[in-house]
Amino acid sequence: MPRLALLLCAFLLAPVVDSAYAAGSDPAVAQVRTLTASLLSAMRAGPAVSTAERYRKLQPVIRQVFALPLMTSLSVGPDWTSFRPQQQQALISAFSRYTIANYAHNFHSYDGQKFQVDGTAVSRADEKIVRSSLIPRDGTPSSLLYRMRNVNGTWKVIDVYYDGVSQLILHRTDFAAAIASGGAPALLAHLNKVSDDLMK
Amino acid sequence: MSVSTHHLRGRQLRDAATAGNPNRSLIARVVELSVARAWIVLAVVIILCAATTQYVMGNFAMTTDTDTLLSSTLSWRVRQAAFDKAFPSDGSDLVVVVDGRTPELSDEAAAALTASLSAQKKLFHSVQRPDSGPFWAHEGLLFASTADVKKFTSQLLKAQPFLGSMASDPSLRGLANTLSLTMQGVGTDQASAQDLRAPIRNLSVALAEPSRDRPSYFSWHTLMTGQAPDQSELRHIILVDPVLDFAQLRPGQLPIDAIHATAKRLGLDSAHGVRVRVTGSVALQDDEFATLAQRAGLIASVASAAIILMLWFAVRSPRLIASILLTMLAGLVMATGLGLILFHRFNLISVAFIPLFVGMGMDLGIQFSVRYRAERRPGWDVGPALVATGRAMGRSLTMAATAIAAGFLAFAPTAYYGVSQLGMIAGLGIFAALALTLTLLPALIALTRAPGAPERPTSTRLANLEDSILDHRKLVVAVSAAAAAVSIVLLPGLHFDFNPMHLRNTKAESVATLYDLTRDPDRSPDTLEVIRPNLAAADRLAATFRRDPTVYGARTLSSFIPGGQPGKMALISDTANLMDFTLNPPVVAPPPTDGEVMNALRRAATSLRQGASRDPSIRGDAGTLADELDELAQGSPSMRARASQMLIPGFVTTLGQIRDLLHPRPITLETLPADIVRQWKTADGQARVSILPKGNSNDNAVLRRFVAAGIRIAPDATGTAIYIQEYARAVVDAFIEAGVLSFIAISGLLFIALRRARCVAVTMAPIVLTGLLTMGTCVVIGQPLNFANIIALPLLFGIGVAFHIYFVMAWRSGGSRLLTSSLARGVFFSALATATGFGSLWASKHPGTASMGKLLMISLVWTLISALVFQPALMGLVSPSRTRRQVQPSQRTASAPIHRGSAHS
Repeated sequence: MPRLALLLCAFLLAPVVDSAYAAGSDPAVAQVRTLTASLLSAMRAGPAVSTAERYRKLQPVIRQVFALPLMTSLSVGPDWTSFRPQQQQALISAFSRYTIANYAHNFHSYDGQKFQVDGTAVSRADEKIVRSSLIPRDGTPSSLLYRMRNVNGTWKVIDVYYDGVSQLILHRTDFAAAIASGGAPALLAHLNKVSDDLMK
Repeated sequence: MSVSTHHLRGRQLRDAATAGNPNRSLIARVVELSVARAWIVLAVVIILCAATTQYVMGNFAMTTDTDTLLSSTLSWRVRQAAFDKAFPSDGSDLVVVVDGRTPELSDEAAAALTASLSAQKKLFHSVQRPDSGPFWAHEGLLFASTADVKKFTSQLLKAQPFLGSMASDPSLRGLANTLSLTMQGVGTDQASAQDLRAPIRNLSVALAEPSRDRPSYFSWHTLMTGQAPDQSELRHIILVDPVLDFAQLRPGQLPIDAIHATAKRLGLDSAHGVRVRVTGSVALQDDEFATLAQRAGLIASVASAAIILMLWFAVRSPRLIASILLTMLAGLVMATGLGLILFHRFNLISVAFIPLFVGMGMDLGIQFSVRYRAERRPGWDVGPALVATGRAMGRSLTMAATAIAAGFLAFAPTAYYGVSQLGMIAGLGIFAALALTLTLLPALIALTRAPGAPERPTSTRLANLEDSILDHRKLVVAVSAAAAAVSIVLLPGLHFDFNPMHLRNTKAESVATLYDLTRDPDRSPDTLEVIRPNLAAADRLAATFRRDPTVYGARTLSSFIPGGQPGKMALISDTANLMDFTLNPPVVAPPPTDGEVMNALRRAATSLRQGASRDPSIRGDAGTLADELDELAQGSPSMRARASQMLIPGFVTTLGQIRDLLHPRPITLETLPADIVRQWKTADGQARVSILPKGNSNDNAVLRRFVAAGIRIAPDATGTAIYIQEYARAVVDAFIEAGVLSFIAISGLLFIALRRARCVAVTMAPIVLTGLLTMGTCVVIGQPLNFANIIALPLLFGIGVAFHIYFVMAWRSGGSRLLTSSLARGVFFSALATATGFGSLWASKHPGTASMGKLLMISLVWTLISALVFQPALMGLVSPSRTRRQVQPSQRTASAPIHRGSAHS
């Protein structure tokens, strides 16, 4: 059973190795490692755990790792400044719930996947890119790039490239349709509906 | 025997010279001397010709510059000169038009060609791309409307998944993997199958072609925008300032050939989806010469054959034909020398003295020779016959030549140097022709002992024709007057086509390319230009112009400062921010191995089939593309290399262009590139307004309306649209002035010589009739006058004057049945020789020259009808004088050829 043993080792060692890396490495990388660790544990807990329970567990990590207010405004685009502050606040809340719900919905089971995080972040201007990959037990690994910005002293994720596809831009084009149909209220309704569906 | 023959011949000579006239005719004496000293005459002429030829060879010069032909003090020329000084031309001597099947191909081709031409310093002073360079690459998007910027940026965001994936692996492997990824999203909410249909089909079409060994063109631009590129993206312009060699007939030939050769070397041809064409003023002029040279050999042979044939009909003797042609050539050489001595160089109009001279010189020769044949009665030797001819024809030939010369010399005061120089050269040249006709021609005829005419019965048909003309002379004159009246009514319909482009062969590359180029109203060459003291005034004027219905657009320097910049900049920088890591991926994969490409292709094919099974709407296209990818994976490495070459460089180019476009700097008057500012504002602040016509600027009516409206708004406007019309007006005015002046001069001369108003009227009426009928015919057949065919008018005029004078002189001498005389024969064949000789220009590929041939043919037909039908009828109606003192039986030799000559009225 060398394979199982290896997996077991990896399982036992992984958090240790991760935190060891985190200690001496880039704070942006550390943030991503924190995220991947909680995602992995959510997956390992398995589908027996309810989506709502996963949501509760992931929420603090995602709020700490993602720049949710900034991501909301970037996802909306130039129209953001035309929204009233209350609308903006409501949209930030709805977008945050939507983001967390997304992770809670998707990371529900474990099939031997591994996260691999590159310890060196690529810096560009005032931003960093942290590269990682999600390696399934067999098949081609997926690339995950985290675009990060320093928000009030903390490196936070503003965009995730899943196999090169910018989630922020997907949101932008998705949201644009809702905004075009009815402005901030329509977007709010859209986000709430999608989140509700994800939480089912 | 020989002594007595000589004695007899001498007596005949004297008899002929003095016959019936105790005062020995001066002309007869000149002819007598030339016959007696034939060898000396020939030697003198040969020496003169040799010397003149020597001079002509060393000094021949001709300018094709039509600008120098008009006084530079004309107000519209002063304005144009001031404009040209303030805003020197942007160097459109050669304009290279690069068309590509895709925006990428066009752009790459223009860039490669520019780089390669710039390196050829010996052939090109400068090579520029006005629609390219750092300014347009970075700031270009700001010139689009806000709506278009929005469309562009949102389309770019939509293409992000594709772009991002490709940018991090710009290879066939990257493309295949991108396809796989995209297809994985099909059926989920990540990708809409609808958005994928067009890209999949485009890619499928592109890949289908190289596997069939046909060229293929794939556009990332089309793929990303999902719509066909517009013309401005498929076409690029390169402005070339060539090194010209004026020693060549086609000064731009070397640079133009070099452009084509470079394009060929770079593989910029239809096989690679690119077309490179050359136009611009130099190319147009080169092509014009090339077009003129086309068929030149054929036209020259046809013209010579036609002329010789007509000469044969007229004089029926190779020796006479040779004598006439040699005399004409000698005259031509001398007139050329004369022209050069007077004006140092010929221009496009004055060079028309050549056809004019050939026509006139030949006519004098024909008249003399035809009469000589008639005079060479049995028993008469060459000498006496020649002297008799001189005596009989001398007066009318001199009269005709003097009248024509006066007519041409009357051109001299006109403001158009082309016409005035033509008048001087032709006027003086005619005297040379006359002198040679009375000296060299008799000498040559005497030396060759050209035979005379056998007595031939007069054609009864011609006699019948003459009878019926004379019987119906009132009707003939009335019909002619009616035709003239109709022509006068039609006259306002006669247009002068001022557009020089219409004289050019539309099949020539430069002409066709220019027409193609100017189909875009933004590129019309026929602009109006106005200078205002400052930009604010220029902008106000531009705004006024934009409201006019004849105006397509008006540009000033301010047109280069796009509006709504803050909004556009916000849209662009937002997109630039979102797309930053997509367009500039942190990691770019190393180039793949062939094996990796094959695997990626196979995986993509599988993904496509799986995706198609989930969404039937893309099944057809996805299935085809999957088959093609499999085929490519199984094919040879060179097939994959070819596919890669077709797809990948274009992607890299497009990616670079997008990167540049997303980082514009705000455009202000201060940040505009100097080379743009220089074209629109002078150092001292004067500003230019450039106005473009609405509609087809190749249509003269459109241009006329445009210019009329333009002058109403800005009376000080200049520019090509005005220039070509004012130029044409000046030319037409010059010709009208010349016509009026020479009409007066000839009438005056005739009045002095003939001393009878009716004689003058009988001479001039047919000329006026011919002119009216010719122009009326032009209106009816829709042939406008133009810069080329208008120079046929002086020849028509000269020939017409000569014919009518011959007839009037004969008529005054008592002849009334002129149609059956040797004179009519001379006139008839002389006209036919000129008509067929110059009419053969009709066959020219050069539309201007062809229209000149056409006009000559038409006018000579009318000249003949006028001279052979109208004038005899007119002369039948009136008598030359009440006393008829001119007609005396003693004028034997003068009236003899007109042997049927008896007063009919």
